[in-house]
Amino acid sequence: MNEAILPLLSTKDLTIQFGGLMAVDRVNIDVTRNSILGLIGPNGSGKTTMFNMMTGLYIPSSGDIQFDGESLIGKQPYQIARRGISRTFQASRLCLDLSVMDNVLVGMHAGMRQNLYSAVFNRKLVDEETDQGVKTALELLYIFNPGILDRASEPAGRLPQIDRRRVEICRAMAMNPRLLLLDEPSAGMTPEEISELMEDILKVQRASDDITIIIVEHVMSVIRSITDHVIVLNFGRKIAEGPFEEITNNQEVREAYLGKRGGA
Amino acid sequence: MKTSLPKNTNSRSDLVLALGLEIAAYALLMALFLIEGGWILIVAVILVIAVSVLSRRYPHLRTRISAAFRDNAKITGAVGIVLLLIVPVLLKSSPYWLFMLVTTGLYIMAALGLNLQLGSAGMMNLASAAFMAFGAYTAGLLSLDLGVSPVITLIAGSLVTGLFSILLFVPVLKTKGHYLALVTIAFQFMVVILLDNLEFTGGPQGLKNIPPFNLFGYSFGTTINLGFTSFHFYTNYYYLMLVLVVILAIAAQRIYHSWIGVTLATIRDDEVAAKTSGIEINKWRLLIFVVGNCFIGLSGAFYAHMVGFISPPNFTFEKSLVLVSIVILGGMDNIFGIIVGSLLLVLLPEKLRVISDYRFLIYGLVLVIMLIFQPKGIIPYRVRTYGQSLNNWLEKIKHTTSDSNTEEKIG
Repeated sequence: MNEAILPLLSTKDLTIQFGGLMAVDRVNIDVTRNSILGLIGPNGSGKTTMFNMMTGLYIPSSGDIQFDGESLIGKQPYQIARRGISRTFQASRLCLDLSVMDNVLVGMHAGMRQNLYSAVFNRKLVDEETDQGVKTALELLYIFNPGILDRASEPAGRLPQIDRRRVEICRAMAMNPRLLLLDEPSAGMTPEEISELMEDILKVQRASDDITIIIVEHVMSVIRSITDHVIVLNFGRKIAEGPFEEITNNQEVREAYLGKRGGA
Repeated sequence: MKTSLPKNTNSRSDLVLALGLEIAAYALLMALFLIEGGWILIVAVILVIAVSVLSRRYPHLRTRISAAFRDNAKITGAVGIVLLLIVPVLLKSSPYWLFMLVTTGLYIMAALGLNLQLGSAGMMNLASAAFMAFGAYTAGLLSLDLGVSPVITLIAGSLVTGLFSILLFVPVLKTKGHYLALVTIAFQFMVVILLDNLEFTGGPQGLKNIPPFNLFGYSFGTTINLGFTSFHFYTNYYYLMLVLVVILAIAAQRIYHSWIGVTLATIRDDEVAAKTSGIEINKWRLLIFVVGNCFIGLSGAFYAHMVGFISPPNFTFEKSLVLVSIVILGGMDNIFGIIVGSLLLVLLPEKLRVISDYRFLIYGLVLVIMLIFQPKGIIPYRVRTYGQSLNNWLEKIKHTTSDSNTEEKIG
């Protein structure tokens, strides 16, 4: 009962310093279960750094990250991934020489039963597991774009940008995450592709009955239409928080961020 | 009936194609051994480059050829086995080339191990000759000092090498990229210097009179006498080499075609993506580093028993470089590429002895030309396929969803 009210992830005075630079400065955020949270702010305001700390790639200088009642401080990236946080990256991190299928299969690594020994001596296990993995991967890909299915055996590098992004989201979803971090998913896309992408993100939410999403995005139309709640960062500090409409009326936010785009 | 007829002739021409290519490659290899003189070498090198470039230019040709081999796997496999088994008969009058062929086999075994590290997981290991030395000295010392049976020393050589590689892995763990390469180079030199100076390894004199391999009392150092004819004792080692290479190649192929292969490839291509996908990078690196070195150690132990005499100059940095060249030039993460690369890089310099003075000049030139024409290796990395499993599920998913689509439209 209590669990439902507790935030899925919360940070307490989360701080990271690179030399003299306070990249993230005493940030407190709470992420409500099964919601979509938008994380916005000008370039260099610490959004990706927040993601890197949440996934264990950076070690915070001080403060705490609680995920589902457990601190993530001192945990390795793979341990955090196995607890249910997965992510995509601003600059795509697909393995472009590997097939689309391989890229999605990697997402299921945590549940993998085969090991080096069984790879050589127990092909039955390998074949069965691979068969199930292929099925799951195809189903995931189908949610996003049935057109990718026929290209599942091609190297990921041959896909257009938007499909690569979809494959990356599929890889993240293959882990069956409870928290999905999307780092500027619309980067490098046309307006048409961006609206397709928004649909995709909503599909992700519908496809799973327990998933929380944090999205870093510069395109405000995306933030406006899909997020429940928005947090604004500037120079590593949280300057505002609330529903999108509320945020846009915030004077400090306008000055820091939207003000620059006031003409648009 | 009519539809099956062209398919039938097609499969027959595929069989002819596959067998023709197989026998042609074999004939070329045997011609290299049996024909004295440089021209055959030039022909061989040009052919290899031509085939490699052609297969890249015309990908459909490559898919057709690989399909031809796959569809006729049983026949081509059987013919291949027969061809390999009769090699000692063809090379009866030139035991030197038989010896070189066994040596090539040892390089293949070691390169398969190195390929797991470098090709599959992206770990540069420039100390492979040092690990070969661990295998060779372990086998040598065990059989000389303790009189252990060679079957056991072969396995022990492999396992001890694996154990020692854990030692090197501790500093390796802290480094990556070029630094990892430097650490392994340092290790390579340390091992050779140690072997040169340690008392129990025989110092610069090395180990002499290591007993030949033997199986159930049959010594591999004896000439095979069939009464009417006899074969050089290398023939024994040739067959042992074949068995071991086949075992290791199958093991490597199975690792490649499993989720472990996918995991390693992800670590190689993008560490960050691997970590955030829940992969415990260091565990996998350690595992594959150890397994790869076990392959390399086995090759070293085999060498010790075959030659009977090992010393530090057998395991120098140059040998490590040759092994790395085999993996890069043959084709990273491609087992067939490793075999072709080994044949080329081990046999080429031997064949070039004809022009002894310019030997390494030509050798280097060939390597440079190869890399210009085929930067990804003679037989480049190929995407994993999930064949039947993928097709089955594709069918099912498309089928069920086309039903639900029509439902949606009605709704």
